[in-house]
Parts: sequence; C-alpha cells; structure tokens
Amino acid sequence: MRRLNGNRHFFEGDTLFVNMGPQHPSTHGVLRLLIETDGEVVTKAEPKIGYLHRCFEKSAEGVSWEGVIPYTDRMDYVGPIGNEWPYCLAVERLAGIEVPERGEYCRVIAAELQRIASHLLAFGTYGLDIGAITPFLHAFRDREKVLDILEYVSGARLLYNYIRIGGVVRPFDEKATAMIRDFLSDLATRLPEYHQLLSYNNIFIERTAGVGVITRDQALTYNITGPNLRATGIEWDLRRNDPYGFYDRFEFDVAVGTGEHGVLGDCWNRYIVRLIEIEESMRILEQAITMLPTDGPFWNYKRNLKVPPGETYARAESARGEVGFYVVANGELKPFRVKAKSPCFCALSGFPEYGTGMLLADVVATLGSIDIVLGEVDR
Amino acid sequence: MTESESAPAATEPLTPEEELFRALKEEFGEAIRELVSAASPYIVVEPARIRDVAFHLRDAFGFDSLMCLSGIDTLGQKHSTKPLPPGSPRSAKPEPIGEEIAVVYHIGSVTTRRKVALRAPLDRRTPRLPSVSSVWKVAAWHEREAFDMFGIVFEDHPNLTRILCPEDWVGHPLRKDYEMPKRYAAWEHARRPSAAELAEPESRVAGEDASRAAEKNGITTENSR
Repeated sequence: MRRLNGNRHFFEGDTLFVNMGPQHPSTHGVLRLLIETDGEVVTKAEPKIGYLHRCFEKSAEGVSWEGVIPYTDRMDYVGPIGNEWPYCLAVERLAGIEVPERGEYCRVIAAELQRIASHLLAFGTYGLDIGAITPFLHAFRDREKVLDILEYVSGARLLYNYIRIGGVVRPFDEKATAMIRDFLSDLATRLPEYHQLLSYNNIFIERTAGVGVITRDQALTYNITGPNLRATGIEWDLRRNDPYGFYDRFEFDVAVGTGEHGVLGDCWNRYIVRLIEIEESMRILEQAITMLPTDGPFWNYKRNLKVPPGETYARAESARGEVGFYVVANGELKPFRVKAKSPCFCALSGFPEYGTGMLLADVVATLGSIDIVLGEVDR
Repeated sequence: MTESESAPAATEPLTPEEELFRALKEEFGEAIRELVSAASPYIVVEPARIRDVAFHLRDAFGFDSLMCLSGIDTLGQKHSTKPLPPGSPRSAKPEPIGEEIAVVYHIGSVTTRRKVALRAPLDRRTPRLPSVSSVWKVAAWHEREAFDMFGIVFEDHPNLTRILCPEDWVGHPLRKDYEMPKRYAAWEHARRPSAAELAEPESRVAGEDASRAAEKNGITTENSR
C-alpha cells in the first residue's frame, strides 16, 4: 500500500470522516481519533483525549508524600517503576534525603527489568496491531518472568509501589538475583528468535519501513523523547546525558535508529530501537547484579515526612521517554502541587502533524510504534 | 575597573543560570525580574513578554525543547519557595507569598544539554498571557491543559479548549478555591427519578406502573398529577 502513496490521484475521492475509538483495540487504551480522509489518505487527524482522566494531580494534593507513589504507578501502568523514580528523585532533592548505595542499585535493577518488560509488551502488541499474532504470545511468555521477579521483591505484579522516598521497599536478595540470571540467559536465546520472527521479516519490513516518519525537527518541537526521539538518530538518553541514580557507573550504549531499513524516524526504526534497548538493559542488569551489595541499608525511611518549602523539577528516562515531576512543597505533610509531565502526552500532541498525509491503514501502524499508554496521557 | 569590583567575579564563577539571567537582563531589561535560587533555580519574567523571551531562548541559546509547562495556584501557599539567605537565624521565616496564578516553563536543550525554568506570575482574577505554542509546538497541548485546570487564557492559541475534562465541565479543578461538585453539573438538567420510582425499583421501566404504584402508596408524583 505504501508504494501507492506516490500515486495519490489513485485514491482521490469523497471526503470521509472516520471516528476511530474511543474503544479501539489498537489505540492502546481509550483514545478517540477524529480522522478526515480523502479516499485512503488522511487529510486531518485529531486525537481526543481525557477518557482516562483521573486528575492525578488533584489527588496528589490530598495525600501524604509517600501516598503519591501508588498514584504515579497508575499513570503508565505497564512501566510504573519509570514513574516512581522521578517523583522520588524530586522529593529526595527537596527534603535532602540520601539514598543508600544498596537502594540505588536495586532501583537500577528494577528500572531495567521494567524497561525490558515494557519493551517486550510494546514488541508483542505492535505485532498484534499490524496483524502478527505469534510475537505477542512469545513476548508475554518472557514478560511473565519479569513480573515474577518483580512480584517476588515487591509483592505486586503490575503496580509495584517499589521505589520509595529514600530507597526501595525491599532489596533484591540472592534468590532474586538468581531469578534474574536465569531470565537473562533465557532472553539472550530468545532475542534472535524475535528478530527472525518479526524484525527482519519481509512482510513486517514492507509494512513499517518508511511509514509514519517523525523528523528530527518535529521530534524536538513536540518534545518527543525516549525511543521515539532516538529513532530519528538523535543520541539523547537521560541515563547518559543527565545521569541520575548510579547510571554513570554502568557501561552501556545509547540505542539509536539504525536506518538499516526505511528511513530514520519511521515505524521500523522506532521498533528496532526498543529491541536494541532490551539488549542494553540486559548489559546493565548483568553489571548491576554483580555490583549489588548483599547487605547494608537499602531504605532511608523517614516517618511522617515533612518536606521544607521549595520547588524542583526532576526527570528520569522511563521506557516511554522523559517522565518529569514538577513538585512544590509548602513545609507540610503533603505536596502543595505535583505536576506530571508525560512523554506520551507530548508524542501524541504531534499526531495531527505527522499523522496527516499517510494512508488510513498506516494510522494504526504509526500509533502502535510510538507506544503510547493512555493512562499516562490522561493521568 | 578597580580591583575590588573584579574580585568577586574571579573568586566565584557564575552558575549557568546566573550567566543566562544576565544575558536575558541585557536583552530585555525590566521584563526579566529576578533569579530565584530554589532547588531548581528559576527566572521570573514579565508575563506580557514571555513569548519574546521564549523565542530568544530558542534562537539565541539553542533551547530546543519545552520539557514541561505547568500552571500553579499559590493561594494558601504560606511561604515562598525561596531559600533563606545563608547565616539567617533559626527563628527566621521564609517570606510570605502573594496569591497568584503562575505559569512555570521548564525548558531544555538537547544540543547544549542546558536547562532553565521561567516563571510568569499572573493576576489571580484575570490570568492572561501570550501563548508560546508558536515557539515550541508541544506547548499547544500543555497550554490547553493549563487552561482546563486553572482557567489561564493564552492569547493567540490555535485552539484553546478543554483537553482533559469534558467540554461542559464547570470550573477549573486545580485552582485552590475550587469546590468539588457533589454531582456532574451537566446532569443538573436531567429529570430526577420520582419518589415512587426510587421506592419501587421494578416499576421504574414503565411510567404508568410507577404512577399507579404511587397512588397506591398515597404518594403524588409528576405522572399521577
């Protein structure tokens, strides 16, 4: 279908309005797209959001500093560790709380496991979006193991509430590191399978290469971050460029779009960046579990925490990009204002621009490749 | 230049924020009010000039991305977030803060890796300032959110409508004086179920049955009248 893009007259016809969603399986949540098409070509696309709006920011003003963390979990519910961390970073900076070394390593391990789980989900559901069912089953089989490990340390399978202000709630012990070693050796044998199954599958390449291109300038002006930015060839990763936690102690490469197929910034490159990131996360995990101290404090817990007046903006690299928290403290037991910056919100705001001019069938391919989670868009 | 004037500059190199603040001050003068050194330092800017400052930051300093744009209502915020000057006594209280609605811009650069925060304080009754969506396109949605949550009006915005709340929502939820509604305001006009309908759930379906049941119970309803 992509090849016919050049012959636009082929599709010219009456204008048709398509209301996609809010309950559409490939919108990854509850998103409504108002699409105007000329034949098969999208001439206007407007996302309507807010269906999952819970006013997280209002709720956060009514609970204790610790109590906000479960709410942040529920923003990006397939990668909650990535939301907990920047919030805790902001509060720790305001309150001047130091995180013990063991806690910092546990955070890195949890965040990288989460990144792998989230990217596996993105890999599987992206296959589903464009009609490949098998990758989804494979991805969920492996994602299950990550959930098992995180369940072992945090007690929850999806919304962990694991990273706390001043550390983590429970450290990774010997059994957990053994589970991680098993998982890593398993995943190392699976990745080539994934590449065979999807990445270098001709049908998949035909379907995604050159489709839904986001240019560098668009990525910057819409502040699109994470794998979607790196797919355009810009080497920007907060773990490397604005290090937080212990990320400056690890050896890893920043995954960028390869341009092997299609052009930089298209669906295929966004997809491959995630798979390369899984490999890099595995590298970080291998280093982290050998460096992890086996004893010592892991949580610098403060009871009835009161944060002195101040304000700060902290950010961290989640699986979807830069998650930021603007936190204002008033010297009380609860936050005065918490504002969450969501990477998916920014990425979706550019959809009217980069979504126009593509074929209607490519809308789903593009939406799937930017890997949005509507829980985070609407908050 | 005498020695005493140049001495402080030599001993204490300027922080990136101070450097930027001086450069902006030179360009915009009075519109750049002050530099506040909170945990994340910010520059207070005259709201009417915010778009000019934003354009200058993007084009002259390479701040290519707007990381975050937040509204904030300081009603009830007892203290300013400014830290106390060093060496102040233990009993010293932070200075009180006025009641204002402000917009805070967190701006970053992928090329130079610098960060800066701007703050535009607004009048609480009529919060208005120019939109920066022509500088960074992502601002369009952030500003719609600030309009939705705080009622801040952004001039020259391409489409200033509610984004997260429904279009018929009343009030701006994140304002500190917002009262949580008991029910969804758009439902106020909907017909309320009559007393009989509430009393006998089975008869809710058919209105006639409801009025008959009501007559039996001696209740006057709209239908039986």
